[in-house]
Amino acid sequence: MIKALHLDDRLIHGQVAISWTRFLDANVLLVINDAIVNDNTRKMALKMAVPPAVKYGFRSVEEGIHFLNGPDSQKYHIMALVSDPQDAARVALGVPGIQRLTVGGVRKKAPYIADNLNLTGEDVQALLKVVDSGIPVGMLPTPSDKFVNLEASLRKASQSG
Amino acid sequence: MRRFLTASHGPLSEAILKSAGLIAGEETFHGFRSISVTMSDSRETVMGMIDEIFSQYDPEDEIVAITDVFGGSITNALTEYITTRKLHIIAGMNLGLVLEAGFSDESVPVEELVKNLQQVGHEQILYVNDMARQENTEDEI
Repeated sequence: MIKALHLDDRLIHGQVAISWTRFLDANVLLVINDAIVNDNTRKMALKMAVPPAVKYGFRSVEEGIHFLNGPDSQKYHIMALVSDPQDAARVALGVPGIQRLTVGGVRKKAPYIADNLNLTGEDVQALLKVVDSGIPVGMLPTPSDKFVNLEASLRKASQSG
Repeated sequence: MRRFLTASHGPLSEAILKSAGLIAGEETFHGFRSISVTMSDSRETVMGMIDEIFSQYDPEDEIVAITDVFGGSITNALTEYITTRKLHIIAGMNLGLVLEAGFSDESVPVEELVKNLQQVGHEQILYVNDMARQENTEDEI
């Protein structure tokens, strides 16, 4: 079952591999991304960041949603990782039971929304759909930080954009 | 109570706590202290820094000190306290080791903790190219 859905452009990195995995007692890190599925170099580097005794998987967005909704995922404690806000929205809306969408950061050439978070207009609209479905979206780089709800910032960006 | 301390030549001891805080959250290292010595610090000055911190601890407190390098001046200075304080010194700090200390549970006996920290510290030294060449897919789902 899915324990957490986390949006972070770094995917598997220190905060995820060490802090989140431990906090969630996750035994699977599932990277959901259409491009990485076919990129062996990225996969090689990401695989090495997986802690011992934790399994990992790579899925396209469509396959990821299918896997998380299927019977095979029930035997695992899964932390699902996405790097793209629009992928995050597809997963959040496509997999029932997700309690919240946590954000570690998305750093790119796009308008500033919050520290370490830059989003295009399409990204903002996608994340607002998640908020409107009743799933809170907030910054939480490590589990011991404070969850900073992004709804107001997203609405503001939506209006000014 | 259990107390943690990092100690080094220069800024490493303080900086490693900041780096560890980035990964695990600053709260994880709440209460950790650091000692930084420079070339101009005399033995007396260094002892003074240690005394200043230790005087704030109860004599029964278990102190775990993580130092930069075995044989270094700060490690040597701390060593003089192992007969008078419940002090455990681990030399050879690295980020993985400090993170493990931050996550550690006070209910685990200190002897066990120290062994674990030593092991984790050793396991952190890896030749990454070798690992990248390994075609290990058994953990893939």
